[in-house]
Amino acid sequence: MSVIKIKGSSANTGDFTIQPPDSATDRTLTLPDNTGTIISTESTVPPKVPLFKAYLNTTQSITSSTWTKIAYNTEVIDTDGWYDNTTNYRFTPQQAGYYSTTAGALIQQCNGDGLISVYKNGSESAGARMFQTSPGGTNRDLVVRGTAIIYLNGSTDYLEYYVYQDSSGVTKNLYDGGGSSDAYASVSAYLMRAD
Amino acid sequence: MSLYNKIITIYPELETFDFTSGVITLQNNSDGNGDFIAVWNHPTLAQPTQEQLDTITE
Repeated sequence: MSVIKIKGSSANTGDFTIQPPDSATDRTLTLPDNTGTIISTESTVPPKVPLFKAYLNTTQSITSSTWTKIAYNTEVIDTDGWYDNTTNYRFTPQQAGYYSTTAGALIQQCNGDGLISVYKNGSESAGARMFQTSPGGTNRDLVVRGTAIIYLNGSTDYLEYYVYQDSSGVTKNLYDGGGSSDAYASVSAYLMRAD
Repeated sequence: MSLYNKIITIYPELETFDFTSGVITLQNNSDGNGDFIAVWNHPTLAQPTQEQLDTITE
């Protein structure tokens, strides 16, 4: 049988009190199975939330008027390995909750409108479409970028990112950002509130 | 010729709004399989068949 150790303060002074709630109901506190610091409402230790960031480091062509998945293929950080940067270019977190996600792209020499959107489980997620109007003029670059907050169930739900341009039937390219992780074509997501 | 250009050749009356509003959605999943018609809910124009699309060339 394992033991529970409670150690006193190294200063040998000051009482440490575990205070039960004012309740007649039995409660169980389950501690995490790892070493760390339990935080409270007054803690200054920030929580380690799941996070990923990736970017596009190769030019990708997108057909006019066609929603095309952005192949963000290079990871900057992926704390839990939930982003697939090689095959499906999707984020499948294994922790349920609300996630904030931001995606962007630069459509080179765009002569029409541009849009970017977050897809959840293969369909455009409600409220997740970002719209940018035509840059005007001829062959001007257009940046599309936006943020959405989306609930994911922590097992099967996944996010993908699609871009759209309507340059009168002409295929355009997404700028690769010159290999910079802070390129226009980058994506990120992190857990805002666990379920 | 892209799928979009083929569709516009068959139905020149289609407008930009038809493709952004969800009436017609063309999609590419970047999986090597190219563009495809994901949604076709146009009230009067029938979704073109693969045979119709194949007859459109450059």
